[in-house]
Amino acid sequence: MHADPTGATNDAGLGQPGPASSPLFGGYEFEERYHDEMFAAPGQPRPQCHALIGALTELPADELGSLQQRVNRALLHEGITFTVYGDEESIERVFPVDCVPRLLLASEWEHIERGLVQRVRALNLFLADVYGRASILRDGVVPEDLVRGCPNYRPEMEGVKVPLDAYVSVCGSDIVRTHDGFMVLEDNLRVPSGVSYMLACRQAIRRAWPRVFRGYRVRPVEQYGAELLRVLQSLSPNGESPSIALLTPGIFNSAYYEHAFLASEMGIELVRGDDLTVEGDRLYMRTTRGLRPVDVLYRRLDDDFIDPEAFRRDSVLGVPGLFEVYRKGNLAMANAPGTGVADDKAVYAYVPRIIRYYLDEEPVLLNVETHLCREPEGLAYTLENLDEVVVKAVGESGGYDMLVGVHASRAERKAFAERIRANPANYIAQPTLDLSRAPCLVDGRVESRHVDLRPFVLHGAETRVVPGGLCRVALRKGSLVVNSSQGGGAKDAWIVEDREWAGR
Amino acid sequence: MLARVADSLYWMNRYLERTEFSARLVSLQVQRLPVGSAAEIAKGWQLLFAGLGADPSEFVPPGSLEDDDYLFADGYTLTDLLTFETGNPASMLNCMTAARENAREVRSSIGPRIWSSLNREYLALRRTRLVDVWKREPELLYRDIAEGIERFHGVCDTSMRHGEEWCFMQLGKYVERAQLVGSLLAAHCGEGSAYAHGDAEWPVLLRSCNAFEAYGHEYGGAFEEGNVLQLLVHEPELPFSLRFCLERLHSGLSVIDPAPPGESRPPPFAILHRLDDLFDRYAESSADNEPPDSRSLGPIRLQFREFHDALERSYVYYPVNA
Repeated sequence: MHADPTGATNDAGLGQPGPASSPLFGGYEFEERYHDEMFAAPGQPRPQCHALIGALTELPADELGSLQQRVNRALLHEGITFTVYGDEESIERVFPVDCVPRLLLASEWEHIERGLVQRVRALNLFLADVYGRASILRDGVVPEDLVRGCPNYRPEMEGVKVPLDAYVSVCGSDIVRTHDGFMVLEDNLRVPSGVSYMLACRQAIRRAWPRVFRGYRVRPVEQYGAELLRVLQSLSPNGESPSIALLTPGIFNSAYYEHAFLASEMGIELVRGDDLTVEGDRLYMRTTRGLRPVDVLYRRLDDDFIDPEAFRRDSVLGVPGLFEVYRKGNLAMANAPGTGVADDKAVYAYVPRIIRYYLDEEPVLLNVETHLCREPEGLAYTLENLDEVVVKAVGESGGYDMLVGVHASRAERKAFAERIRANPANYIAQPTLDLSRAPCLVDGRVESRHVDLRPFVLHGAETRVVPGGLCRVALRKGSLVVNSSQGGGAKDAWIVEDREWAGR
Repeated sequence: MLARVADSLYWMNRYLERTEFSARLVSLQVQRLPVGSAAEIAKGWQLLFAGLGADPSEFVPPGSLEDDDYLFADGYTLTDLLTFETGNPASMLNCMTAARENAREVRSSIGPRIWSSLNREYLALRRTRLVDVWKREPELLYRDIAEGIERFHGVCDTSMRHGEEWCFMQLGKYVERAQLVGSLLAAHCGEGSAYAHGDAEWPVLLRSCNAFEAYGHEYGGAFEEGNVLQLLVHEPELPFSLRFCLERLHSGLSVIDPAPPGESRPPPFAILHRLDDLFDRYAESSADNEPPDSRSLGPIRLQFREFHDALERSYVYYPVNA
């Protein structure tokens, strides 16, 4: 159904002719099939969105355009960029930020928060168990061969004591919303990125809409850096004033901006592998006044690359001997090596069972129905329904090595089917989700685009979720892929109190 | 501070100083294209390249550029070479890019304000094409570049603690400045200079070192090599004099490595003391009314170069012992 959802043709929602007749929403597509974040029905804005719609429609069209330009220019000058691999022309790109925030009610947020805290607690217990007594495997709740055979399972971690048993200190789970509710699409437990873009988005959008922002009394996210620092400090094996560093692969990494941003926010050193050295049983960084010990490493480097002596021999990004220092308990790392086994896309299917096993609770957040191609029924289902499902490689992220069946050509599906048959254990299939849509500013008009939400969970002595998250947007019309490397952008997510809008 | 961070801060400012210096030199050269004789302009290009440490004969062969017909066309080519040519490692765009790459390495140390300030100047230069500014007032481009870098230094000076990080930046700035001024003076001064010239070049030299007004106040309108040397080598209160650079290196190094006198100190200190001796020796001969001598330049330039090497060996690429 194509209609002006502000009520240009049906004014029942707003009851005011001004904003409703704005041409701004003239091209907005409302489709029943998708949950719309701004409109309950054509002409019926959600109560909490009235003020935002008012602010949007009050601005002349050219002002709105220049607002978006100002946001883009500020992001460019501040160098809020990401890197696209294989693009020789320009490896740095400005992160596209949409000017229209996504509003979530506090009650909705509290549901997400409860679900994420539950999930991260359970996944940490799962990791401590699989690298320890392995009772969940012996009890047959999760197949042992699935876990031990997972490419991200690290036998080197068996028996290693992890401070506070916090294997996952930083988690960024992807949450989507359909008419069935909020679901976790995947957990990112290795080196989740995006939090700096969440903070940059917030700064840019707060500057763009100062009065609207104040009026909504949006829950703050700016404390993230301080909270992350507290978590890292709590992991230290060497006393109360630990020396902490953030390990980055360097300026050519796609998330380098984020690494620099977080190090700056926390006031810790941003180090590369070649700044570090192992002497005796300790890790040191090379300073202008000699070597200085490191107690805690927030590493933004995959397991494979952290230590060529323990993992990939050809890594030049890591530090020889680092894992041995860690194994001996002289260094804490966030996240711990080996956490990838818990965010494997096949293990994902077992997360509801993992939650029940360790916490004896029902999962608060839904999982997406998942078919494992390693199982004969799952493989058959996937191949029979390739035009309807989304197929993902279990060890990949960032939207790589995946097939969105409904958008693929017959030839693409055929080629992908061959890849699945050649290595079925490497793939899972999920239904194509009807991701919710939110309004975005496109060429001076408001149009709807699919969105997800990546909130960030911090886990140390306690578990906290920063209220909000990186709301990722599939900027290409009709696209379901929100990854920045694949044409996605972001918008600010505002958590606003329910009572403010009750009865409006 | 991380050794690598110190190195990046140091090089960031070296590249910026080189960009700013080049911008001033090119601006002065471009300003005389409409008024100077062909021979003067050719000489100006030669001095400019020599001042930047390049061999002028590679770019300005003897006898070229002396024909009015080609003066602007060749001027455009040389200006582009010095400003935007990506194949020229010393072009202003390449130097700004290198400065920005070093700044990116240390974004977490310098903070967002300083980073954005440099990033803005870099983006402004990258967006510019010489062809668009050449027919209007090209010197405005160079004024903007130089002022942008001065603004950047202003932001650093007012928003950074003047501790170790800031001091490494200062060392980069003044080591580069000392080398560039030394190189420019060597091209202009002394009997051995390959680019012997008349009085018309002295104002250009002084302006390129922001010293024209200071010279006028001190010596009036007559230009003499001895006075130029006195000002640009030995005047302790002139920001582009070699003596001024030396004083800044002393104060920067004392913050970076504050070991009390008497203790064994790393080699950069010894080199600065050698430079002190060279300048003191000059002061003594000056007191005896001996004329300033461009021959003192050679040893001074050599010590500034050695200071750079010693700095890197002592604080960045030292052997590791836990």
